[in-house]
Amino acid sequence: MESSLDRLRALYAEHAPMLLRYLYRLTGRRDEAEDLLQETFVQALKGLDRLEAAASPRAWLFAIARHLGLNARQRRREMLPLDGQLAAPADNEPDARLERMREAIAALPEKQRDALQLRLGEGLTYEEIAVVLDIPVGTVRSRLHTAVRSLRELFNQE
Amino acid sequence: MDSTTLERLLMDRALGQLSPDTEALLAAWLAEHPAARTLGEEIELTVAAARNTLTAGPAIPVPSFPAAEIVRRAGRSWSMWRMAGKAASLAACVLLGIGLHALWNSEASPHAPHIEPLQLVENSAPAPLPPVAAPSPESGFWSANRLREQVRQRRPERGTRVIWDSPLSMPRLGDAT
Repeated sequence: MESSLDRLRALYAEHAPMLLRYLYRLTGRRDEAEDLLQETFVQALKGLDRLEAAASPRAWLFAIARHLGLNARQRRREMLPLDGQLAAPADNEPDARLERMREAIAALPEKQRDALQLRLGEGLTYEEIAVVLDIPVGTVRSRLHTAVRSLRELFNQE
Repeated sequence: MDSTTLERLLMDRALGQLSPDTEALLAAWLAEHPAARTLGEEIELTVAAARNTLTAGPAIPVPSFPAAEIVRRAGRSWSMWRMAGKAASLAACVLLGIGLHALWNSEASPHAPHIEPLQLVENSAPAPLPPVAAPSPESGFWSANRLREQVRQRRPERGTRVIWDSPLSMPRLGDAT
């Protein structure tokens, strides 16, 4: 058990910050995100051998986190305002371009936004996103390309 | 290079998913095509702005590794699974019992529809077979008997042969032996 915990601790140190941010974006609540982060590692502990044998443990952890986050959101039966998912910049000076981009991202279909968040927000590869979303890599690429095309059109409208 | 392929390559490059070799080839190609380079820069700017937006927001401090809490929750979860397993076994046993009981009742129930058993009667004398018409050689055009009869009629008599002793005398039929 102790060795399992050590292995889990290493995974936590490496991936917890990204997972927490992702869960926060999924749920919009910090306390819930922290709780789900713990639950993610509880689930990871149960399947630790399979997790470590996976091609990308990070993708596995994100898949678990996403599943838990979506379940939690569904349990609450409330739609998060998109502003909650796409937090405003930390500084108080609103950047007009970023604001416009935020609106453009919020206008994307959820599937495309999901893929975009995982690629640009969390830095997952196409292959890892395919594992998290349980879709083929080609579909990931297609969703991302469609999203970028839409953003380019919306972003450059003036 | 067609525009679809070019756009796909530019997007993969902007998203950071192009292999270094392909990226080098693309850069060399773009150096000679300013219009495509402009498109590439536009896509790069869009992706960079999207990245900034998606990573913006206050940093969330990550709690230290909650080992004890994780172990406690995992243990609770495991015991819940164990209990769920036991409950499932119990439910299966109960269902099996109910099923057997229902089966037993259906056999012994007075309300069950009564079916008269079949009565088998032993009969030593064989039942007379229906009369079969005797095969007639003329019963049909393709009748084997008819054909056999025709062949028999055409065949010459076995006991006779043609005897022609001299070319000056007429041939006659005589005994074959």
